[in-house]
Amino acid sequence: MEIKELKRENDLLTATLNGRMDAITAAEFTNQLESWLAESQKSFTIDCSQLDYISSAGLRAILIIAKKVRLLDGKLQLAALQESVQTVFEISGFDKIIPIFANLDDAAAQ
Amino acid sequence: MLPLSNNREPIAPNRLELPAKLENLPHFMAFVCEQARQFDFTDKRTLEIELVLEEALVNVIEYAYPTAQPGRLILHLEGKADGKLHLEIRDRGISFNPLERAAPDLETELMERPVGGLGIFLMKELTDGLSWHRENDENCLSIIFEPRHAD
Repeated sequence: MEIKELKRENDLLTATLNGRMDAITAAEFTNQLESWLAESQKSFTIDCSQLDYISSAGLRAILIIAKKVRLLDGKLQLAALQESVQTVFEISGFDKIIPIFANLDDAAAQ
Repeated sequence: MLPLSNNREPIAPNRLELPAKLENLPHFMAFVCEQARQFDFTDKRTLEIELVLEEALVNVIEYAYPTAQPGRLILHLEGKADGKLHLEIRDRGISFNPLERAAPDLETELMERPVGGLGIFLMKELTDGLSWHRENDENCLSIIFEPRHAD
């Protein structure tokens, strides 16, 4: 799994998530987001178009960061989920607590 | 209850035994994916099988044995002539039935949402048969996948 910064605009950091987010790799997401939070960055859009797989370990990592970001009055939103990843979000009810957009443009409009 | 297959022999009986450590997760996953490819499972269903397998294995890896002394984790996989994939996961750790864990409340808002319990819930949602029993001091989790999961 790889997480890379794409751009920072109007306090919003956009990043791309690539590969598989599982019990082994979810910590990479957590570490990167924690390090951006430590830079006082608190609003994020994550492009998930290249994210092929997510397990509960990945959901857990996202939930923990989403809670931290909320406490800071920031936001964590996701865009362009693949169908299988979208399904996992829906089964888990995460689509109701994490804002999900069809693409980066829609997410940027928020 | 295992469905009876017809007269043919099981297509691909197989077994993998490794220490219950997170670093071995990719080995178990690759083993099952390789076997699952012999079936007419869709890519979507194969991803769901991977997901269930990861949840089940991580559960054993994290909870069955003391961290300093990981025991064995045994994966037995059998493709039946009925087209279903049967998985059995065994460990000799503490007795623990993961299926007794209460389902997480999926309606609570973000800040109240509990962080745990999702893995077992996903397993229940994505399998076509899931049972646990204790036998010879082993936890034994049986999982059945049909090629297409009935929603």
